[in-house]
Amino acid sequence: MFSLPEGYEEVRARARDFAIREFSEDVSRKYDESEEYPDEIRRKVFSAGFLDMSDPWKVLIAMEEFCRVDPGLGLSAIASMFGSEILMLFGSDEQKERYLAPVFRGEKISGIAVTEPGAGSDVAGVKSTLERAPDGGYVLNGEKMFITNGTVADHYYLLARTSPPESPEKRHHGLSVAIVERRWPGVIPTKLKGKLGMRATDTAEIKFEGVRVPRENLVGEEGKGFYYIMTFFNISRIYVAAQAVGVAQGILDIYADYLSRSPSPPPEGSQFVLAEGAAKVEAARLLTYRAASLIFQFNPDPALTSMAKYYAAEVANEVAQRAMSVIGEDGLSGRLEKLYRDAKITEIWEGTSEVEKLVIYRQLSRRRSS
Amino acid sequence: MLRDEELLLKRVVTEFCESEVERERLRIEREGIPDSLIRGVAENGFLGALAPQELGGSGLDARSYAVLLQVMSKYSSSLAYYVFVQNSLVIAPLVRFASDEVRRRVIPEIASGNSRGTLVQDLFRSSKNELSYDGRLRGTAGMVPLPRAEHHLVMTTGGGFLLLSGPGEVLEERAITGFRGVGFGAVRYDGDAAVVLEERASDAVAGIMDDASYPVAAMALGIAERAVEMAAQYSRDREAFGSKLMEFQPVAFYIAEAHAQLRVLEEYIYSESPDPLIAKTLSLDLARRASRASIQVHGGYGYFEDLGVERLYRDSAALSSIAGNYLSDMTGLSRKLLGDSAARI
Repeated sequence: MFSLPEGYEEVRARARDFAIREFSEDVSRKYDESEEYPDEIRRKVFSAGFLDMSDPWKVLIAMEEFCRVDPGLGLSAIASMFGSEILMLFGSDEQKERYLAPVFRGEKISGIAVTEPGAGSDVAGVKSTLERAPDGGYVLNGEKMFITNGTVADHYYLLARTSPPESPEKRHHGLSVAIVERRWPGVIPTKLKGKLGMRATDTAEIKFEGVRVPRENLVGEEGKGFYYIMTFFNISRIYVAAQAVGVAQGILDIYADYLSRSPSPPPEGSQFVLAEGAAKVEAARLLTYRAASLIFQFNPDPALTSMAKYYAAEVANEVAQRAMSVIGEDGLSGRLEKLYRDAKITEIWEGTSEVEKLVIYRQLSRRRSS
Repeated sequence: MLRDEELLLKRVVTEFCESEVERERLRIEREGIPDSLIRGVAENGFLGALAPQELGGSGLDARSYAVLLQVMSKYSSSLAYYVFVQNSLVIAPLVRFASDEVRRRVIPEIASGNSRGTLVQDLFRSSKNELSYDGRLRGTAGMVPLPRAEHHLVMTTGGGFLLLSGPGEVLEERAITGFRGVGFGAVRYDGDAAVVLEERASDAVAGIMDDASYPVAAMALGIAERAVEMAAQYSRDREAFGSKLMEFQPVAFYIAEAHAQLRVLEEYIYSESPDPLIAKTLSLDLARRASRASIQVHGGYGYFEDLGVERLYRDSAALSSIAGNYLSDMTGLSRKLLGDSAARI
């Protein structure tokens, strides 16, 4: 049986109060329209104590409650520590001190640079290269795409090839993770605008042209990068599941308010939209918490994590479409339509729903055969 | 099946959209529909599609009008919606309800693109309009499409149906989920208006919305068609894991399933006597599902406006809400099938 650890309902209440206070409709609209990174919000979230990687439940619950009100703002703030788990798990003490500590103090922002123009779901297809330099370091060349925090991060955890694969079947070999600072010569980030949703988040394409990367910035062992990134995704996906649960709950909140304003009892068709949505959101939340509890006890179940991410994203989008269809004109401007736009990305980033289903299948097959 | 003259019209509209609309697609979404494009639409007779020829229109029948909107919606649903507002929400009601003097004064202006019309209605209680008429039209209205239009057909709180010629004062303009090239806003009215219908305006507006079901179905079909075509093309071009996307069963099945439903719906919509409400509900459902699947096939690229997939997702949602909604459509359908007391609880 699963239950949320003690004390986190209080965290939830604080996160909820914070989001309602800070993510007002005017603030939401401002960042949604301008597509600016909300650094002011990030600082407030940090000062309020929600960016605390020593307490992952707190981060997860804050993610859910923030996304319930404004996913773009909430995610921008929490993802300022994006990729930190890679250094926490595989980084050296020096790397942690130099790169992780300032992020945890709220002074710096990190990002993760994996996706490329020709390699999205197919992570092992990355073409960027880290070639050995005579001084023992590396020279980085390549291009990354759709990188969250791309123009605001102080450094990225970047996946690139350090040696050619032995065979097409072993493309995931020979990939490595390095820490690359945004301000280094040859790093050229360009902000991408015009997203469907999550428009407060910073997204960029980044070119790397002959970037000198010191040897000490290689994370862990050379050639183990694919494994590190997959380990990270198996953690980060649970935060996407929490995003989706938050978005879905936010939509239900709006829909319930809409029904409560009706002068007469709403017809049963409208009632069922709420009832069915509430049942699915609760199921997605429980699945998310169960998978999270295993991750946070250092005993992750990748199948369960992928189930949570896939199902929560599916529910968020379904609830969004149904609420929009029923509410009609009133839903076309304001928070509901924004949540509708924000919901879609949860089916895409950190592994598309199709990738999640493949993970689930492979994990289940492996269990049967063992 | 389309008849010969409808196939010809389809070809003409497609050529116009390929040469004039496609290159303006992003500009329309970001800045609104350029005047030059409106002139082109008018010169081709599309703005006055439903207007009688003697009033400067093309006098198209419902099927040809549907062909026009389906094709146009593929390239720019904002532009198709603009044409829909002029024809289904302004010209058709004026033809039906207005005096000969009003018809002759206003319809040729709209059909030629020299002025724009809009409909201000309160059918779903959502606009919270408070509009009165005592020789002058006074009050404010909420979500008005084309708030800066020169001619506003207005349903008043007292049940009248009026035409205000001369723009109202636009209080606030805001983007909504879809049809970003059109623009919506709140408008304050204080001016002389011609009485089009003294009473029972809500019945008139309900009739206008009923008549709108069929063209809405056509626009939804256009959105779905574009979504499927783009997903199919991308799945042929894009490789992942060493294979084309279309080689993966789930991707191919998304596309094939949507394509199959699209073809059946198209057959139905252009059959001899389709039920407009059935056509509308099924087409909207397909447009929403196909556009969601198309973004999914495109991955991150589909999430950005450049390719034009994400606008299909937004526009399908807006179209589902802007001329009726799921509840009103399903209630109407239920009552057609089961009688007036159906779906009341």
